[in-house]
Amino acid sequence: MIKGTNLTKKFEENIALDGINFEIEDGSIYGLVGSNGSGKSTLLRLISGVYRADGGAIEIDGESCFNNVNIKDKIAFLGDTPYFLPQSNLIDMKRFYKSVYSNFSDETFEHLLSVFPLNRNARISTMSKGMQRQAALILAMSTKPSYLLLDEAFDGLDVVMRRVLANIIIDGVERDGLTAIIASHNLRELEDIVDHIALIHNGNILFNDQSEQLKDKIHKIQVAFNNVPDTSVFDALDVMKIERTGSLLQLVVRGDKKEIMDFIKNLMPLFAECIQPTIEEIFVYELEVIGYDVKNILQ
Amino acid sequence: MMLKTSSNNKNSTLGLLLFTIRQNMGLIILTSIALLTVCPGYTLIRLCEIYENLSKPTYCGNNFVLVFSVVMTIVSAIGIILYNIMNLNYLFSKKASDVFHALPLNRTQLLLSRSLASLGSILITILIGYISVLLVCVLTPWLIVELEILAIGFLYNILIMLVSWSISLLFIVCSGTIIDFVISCGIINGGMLILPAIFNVLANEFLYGYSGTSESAMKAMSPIYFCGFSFSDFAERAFTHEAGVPTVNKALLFTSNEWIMIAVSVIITAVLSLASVLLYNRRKAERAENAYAFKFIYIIANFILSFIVAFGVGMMFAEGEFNPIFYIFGIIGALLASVTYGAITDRGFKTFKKSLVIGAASAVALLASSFLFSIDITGYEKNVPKADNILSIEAEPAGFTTIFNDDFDTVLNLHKKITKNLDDLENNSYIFEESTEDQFVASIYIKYHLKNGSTVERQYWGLPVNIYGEELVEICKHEDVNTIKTQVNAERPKLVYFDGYSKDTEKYINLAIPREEFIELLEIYDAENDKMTTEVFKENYNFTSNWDGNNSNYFSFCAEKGYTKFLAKVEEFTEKYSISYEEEKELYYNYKD
Repeated sequence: MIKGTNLTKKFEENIALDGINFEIEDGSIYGLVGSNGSGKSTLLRLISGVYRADGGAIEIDGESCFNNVNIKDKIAFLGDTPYFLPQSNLIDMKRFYKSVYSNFSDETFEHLLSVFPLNRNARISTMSKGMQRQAALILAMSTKPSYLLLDEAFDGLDVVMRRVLANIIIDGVERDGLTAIIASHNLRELEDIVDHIALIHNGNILFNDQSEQLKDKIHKIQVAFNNVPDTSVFDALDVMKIERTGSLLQLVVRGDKKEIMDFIKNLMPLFAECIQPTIEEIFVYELEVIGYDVKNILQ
Repeated sequence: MMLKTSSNNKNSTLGLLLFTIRQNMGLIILTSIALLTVCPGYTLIRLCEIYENLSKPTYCGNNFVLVFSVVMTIVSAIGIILYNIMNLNYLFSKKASDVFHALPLNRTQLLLSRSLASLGSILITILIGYISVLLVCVLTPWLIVELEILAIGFLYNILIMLVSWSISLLFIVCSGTIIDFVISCGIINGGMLILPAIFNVLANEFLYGYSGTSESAMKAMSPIYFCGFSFSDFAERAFTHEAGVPTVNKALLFTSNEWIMIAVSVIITAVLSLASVLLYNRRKAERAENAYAFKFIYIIANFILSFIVAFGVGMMFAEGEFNPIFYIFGIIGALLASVTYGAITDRGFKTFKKSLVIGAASAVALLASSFLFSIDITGYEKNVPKADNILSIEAEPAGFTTIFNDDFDTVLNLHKKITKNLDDLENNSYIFEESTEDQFVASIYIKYHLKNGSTVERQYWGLPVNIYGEELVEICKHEDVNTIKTQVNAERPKLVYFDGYSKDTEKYINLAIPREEFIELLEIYDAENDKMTTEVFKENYNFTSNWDGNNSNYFSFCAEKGYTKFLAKVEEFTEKYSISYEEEKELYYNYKD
């Protein structure tokens, strides 16, 4: 488990993370969402032991990450812009990682090389951005990590490769108990893969919950009436938002789906339908409730 | 599911070290080939050419081995810096810094594996070089070489390379970009050489009697200077003056100086590399691509630069005088230098105020230094050693060389008289003043050897003879003629060269006196010593002798009219033994009996 307690990180006068607390269970795929400069990358670098925290603690399996060789041997970190040794190809980089990671697997390397169509002898610097990201992923997964930290993982990948990457991660979680933490400013690309999601803004975690629980908690109901009643009839429900378009009402309600639908049916609508909101929509609703304009957060 | 805990720390460190050496292999091979092209390649060709022209059956290759060691030392000292930059350049890139700091190594392991790989890489080339030289020496039967010179040269090479490695390591750890590494390393190391020189100038200006040089301070402050000085000292001892025959005194090759060099180099390397490791463990990975990883380096470099520029600008505008113009322009120079340095470092004027503060501090430091020297805060000018603490005194008044193993009061009386009249001497600008028709001045250099092993030195110029003449004459009468007599008997030159100018006869003389007759001249001169008066400081009769161009057997004869027998002998020798200047130069190389 990864546990952060009162975690703080500053860069000169700028507070990147301001006393955040979180727990990431093993075997989960954790999504970190936030705009540029929100603190996602900083958090990943703290977990991977690149940065030292200025306050609080961050622990993996009860041990501090920073300068901890045993812990770092279990972590593979991919930054938003991959780095490779100058003039190197995949074989050179393989040797580099193999020289330091005790669990580096040639088998996994060869397998992933067959999945991603990369020339192992070509200089990585001559490859496209997407291919470089694939190369970085191959090397990271070959170290057989217990924790995979991906910063803007899908950036630069085409649709097919995004699916391939997602499958590799899911496969790693299911087979090897891999824990993946994926940071992104794009909620949509995380929605299908993550099972836990947190929203970071200005160094604070605004939101942190399991994806399924989020979806089970909040529902979007479209209901049509002959004579639209006053909105006060819905006071018994935990309504987050009501929008009216003619005789059609769109409600966003927090609570149990069956109870909500039974209540609405008692109002004798012409039509009532429960639509599953996307994670992004859930975030929008939750943030609006607490007073944030989501456009400023998820750009 | 948890993967097994890795406990392969040592393997990771070794793995990265070996990987890095392998990464450097291209450069190692390239430099080794270049080295082998020079030696044995070019060297063998030159040696074969020399062999063909040999008149003797053997050739002394000591100097060739020495030159090789010197060149290899310089090249490897620079090379190790380049290797360190190459292997540690991840510290200068945010992307690379993320990757390297995420590796399963702690900070110490990461730093040492990469930097020791630099040492390993260059060591391969060095060993190839020295082995090839050794093979050339061993396998060439007509080449005679003292292998001790090669071995000690190799030792110096390694030690100086280690010092260079540790210095560059420290500055790389403290820097965020390559430019700042170059600037800070250059300024601080350069400053270690220039600051002692500046303080030496201040001491010469404000302390009457100051006779020091900046050399000892440079050796103490600058590892580079210390190493260079030690190596050149060894090279002087190892240099074979006479071609064809190895004449090196082996006992002089490995002396206490070498032990000191070993100890100091090891200490410097250990201290600086330990400091590098400690600082690196505190270094923030996010400082990559920022000007400095640690602010104190910026402050120190800026301060040193501003201080030096302040002094230089002040001197330039004041034309070497320490007057208000010096201080005004010094302050301006300090402020300008610090602001400019800050602008270059931060690529802008974000730290303008901080730079101004540092510039002001360095200007204040310069003013304070001048002030402290001018008031002689340490009491240097008035310091006269106590007779009980003195082991011996060397005194050189006006061209004489005297040694006192007792009767120290002869010198101390003069010294105390000078210190009582300091104001008068300084205010009347007698310093460096030359004698005039009416006023004769003399100079004296005094060196006290104290019982505690230390020395006290003073150099006084422009002492009016009418005030200090009596005491000076008493000192001059202790002239040390015995040392030169002993030397001439031991070294047995065929001829001794004697030259000088006689004001009375207005003649230059140039003589080559046979050894036995030179000794006779010495004895006559010594016997007439009691006749010395203050007239001797008029320098009417000034002669010098030498027999191989070496300063160690140089002797000066300061006579006056009363030295009748001596002057008569000189006149006699002038008629018998005069030579031309060209003849003198030619005979220097064949002076031995």
